Amino acid sequence: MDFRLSDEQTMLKESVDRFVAQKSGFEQVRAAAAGPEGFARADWQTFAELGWLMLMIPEDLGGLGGVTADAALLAESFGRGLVGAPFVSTAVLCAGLLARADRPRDQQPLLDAIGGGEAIVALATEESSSRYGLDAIAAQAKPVDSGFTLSGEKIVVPDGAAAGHFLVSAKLAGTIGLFLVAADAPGLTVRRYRTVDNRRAADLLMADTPASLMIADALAPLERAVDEAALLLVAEALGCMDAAMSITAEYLKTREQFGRTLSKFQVLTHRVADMFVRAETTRSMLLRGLSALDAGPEIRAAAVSAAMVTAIDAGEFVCGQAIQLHGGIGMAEENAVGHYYKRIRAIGRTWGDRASHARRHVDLTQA
Amino acid sequence: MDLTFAKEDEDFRLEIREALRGLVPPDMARRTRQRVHPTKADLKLWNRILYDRGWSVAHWPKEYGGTGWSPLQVHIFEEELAAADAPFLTYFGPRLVGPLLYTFGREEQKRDLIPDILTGETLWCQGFSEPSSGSDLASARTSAVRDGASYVINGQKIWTTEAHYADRMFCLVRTDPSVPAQKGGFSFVMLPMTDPGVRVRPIVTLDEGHSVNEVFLENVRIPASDIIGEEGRGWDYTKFMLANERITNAHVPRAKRDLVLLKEIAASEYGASPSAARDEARRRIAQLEMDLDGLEWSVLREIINGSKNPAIASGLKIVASELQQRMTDLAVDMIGARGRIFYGEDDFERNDLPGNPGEYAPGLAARQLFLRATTIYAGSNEIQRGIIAKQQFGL
Repeated sequence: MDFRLSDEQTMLKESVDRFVAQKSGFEQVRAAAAGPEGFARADWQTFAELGWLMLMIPEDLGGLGGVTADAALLAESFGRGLVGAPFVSTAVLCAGLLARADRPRDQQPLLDAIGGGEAIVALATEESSSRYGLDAIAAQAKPVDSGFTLSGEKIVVPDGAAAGHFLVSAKLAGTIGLFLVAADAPGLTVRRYRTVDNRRAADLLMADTPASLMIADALAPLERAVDEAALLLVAEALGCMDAAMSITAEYLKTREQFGRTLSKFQVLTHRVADMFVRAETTRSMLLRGLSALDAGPEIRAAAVSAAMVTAIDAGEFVCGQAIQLHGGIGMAEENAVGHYYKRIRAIGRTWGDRASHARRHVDLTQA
Repeated sequence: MDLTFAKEDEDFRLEIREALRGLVPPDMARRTRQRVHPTKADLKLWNRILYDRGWSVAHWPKEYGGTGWSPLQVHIFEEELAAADAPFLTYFGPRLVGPLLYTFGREEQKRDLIPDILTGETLWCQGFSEPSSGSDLASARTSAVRDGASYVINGQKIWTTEAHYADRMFCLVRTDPSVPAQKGGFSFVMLPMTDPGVRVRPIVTLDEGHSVNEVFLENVRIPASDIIGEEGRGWDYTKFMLANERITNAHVPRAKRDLVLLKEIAASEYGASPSAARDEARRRIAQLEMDLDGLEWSVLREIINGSKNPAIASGLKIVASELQQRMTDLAVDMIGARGRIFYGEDDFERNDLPGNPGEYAPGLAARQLFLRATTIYAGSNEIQRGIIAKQQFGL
């Protein structure tokens, strides 16, 4: 075992940290979040130029063949900078699923477009009553002469507003199939809207919407891909916590009440110490999750759920207390700590929430 | 010891319930459930409706326009108001400055100011916190300097709730910079928000709502008679107002209503058939209900046989604020992935809501976010814990 970064990983981390330091001042982040897509397309082009969008595409499909731990370095830094671009959905989750398609070579053009920053793809799995169950869906696929059509609805598709394509799960002859649907396909209504973290999601309403089949028996690959994406959310949450802690510690050093700086009040400094301990535990659980990603499905799922539960609780504590320790000013929309809190709230209900992960852990680890 | 409600109190509850039936306009009731910040129109209209029945300041002594009900009856009345989704009237006139005026104000102040508090015609705001004086209120610097028959006020207040609704502000000011706050350095003055020297800047909070403001006071000249009560007693009056509000701030009536709503959300989201998710939601609701029962009985103890113990009041504030947060946290958790959607507090006016949610979802996101402030405002919970340690144990 060796927890140190490789030389390549160190370079990757330096490059993303530099990007975040230069590009993601809080004011810029707010400006990007206020735009129509919740992030800046120019940044997305920079991601492509830096190779980040092909990082997770396998080498035999023209990508860099990176590992999830590499992507986690990016996600953590994006968390620190509140970068709203759909890196995880498009360049990891959907790119990964396309690379695992029943006929991956057919997906080469779309994978190239993802790697080049031209295509944004979002995964649509959640439905009105699915509660994060990837198999608890009602959307139906129907074979037609030209391929398939889909009918049904999907809600709160992460990064769904900017997507040109969706990967959509639907029932297909007793299995869960995964289909590619163009955002401008006939019979598809896309309702785009803002989420608490100032990003953009979408609801999809499909009525005989033409779709092409990517994976006929998709449940197992979907579960793996979503677990991988969840771990990257853990990494992003870590970045949020790290930033919120630093900002808070800095504030305690400067804000004065009762004739001294807040840093002289032990109850407050111990709170920051607790925040640190929770964040470090989250980092350990992230690494443990990464180590289990290629183990059997049950070991992987339990480790990812454990990491998510840890991250959700730690994130709520760390970023919630960052607001608390700021006092009134932490409640102001123009203060950064609240935005870290909101991102944590969103992370904690993307592809699973605390309850769904805790239940899955129980089911997998207790007879 | 008698641990039961008297028959007349139970009868009183039923009378009030009957009298309130149909009194809250349905759209106002819906706004009360779903908005974390009440609208000015609702505050004024509901104040007027209550006033017409003699109930706008039920907790006041009868001679000033109250009902003369017992403290327990007032509590029962407030529970029934919350159960009917009636807006919680503005704090500043009926809860804070009103009692200050009828207790310490001069006769002409009572005569001139109290009638418009009863009707809601005049809305007030409270000038307390300053940018560099939050928890440390005694360090406030806004000054009122005597100049002939006037005071001239200069300074800045912050987190002023409803300053943008208010006609008047009662304002904690330093009238004697040579002595500490606790030794007579502070007074309360009142000033018109229309004065050209008053500038109100909105502060948008985490939830994207606007209820608090910065208020800049520049050479605001008021007649010397507009000092409230006596000069130099500002700190005593502050303690008087906070002590008055120790029970109201626990917001038990609203919390009991929210518990009912939580059960409705659970029934709608999880259906009637057993599932692990439903079990967990029900367990969490049960825990909140037990905690609320504890809070309610602590409040009843204070209402019936008030202890005047500041440590008890601080404890109520800690328990109540954390409970309010946990209740909205659970509400958001129960709506699943829709908990990620930013449902603003006016969203229920729309009929094309994203996520196709239940009617209880709009406003939840904003409410959950804004309630992060409950552990900060009215004396942060850290300050409250310090009070308990000091007052109860001399630590």
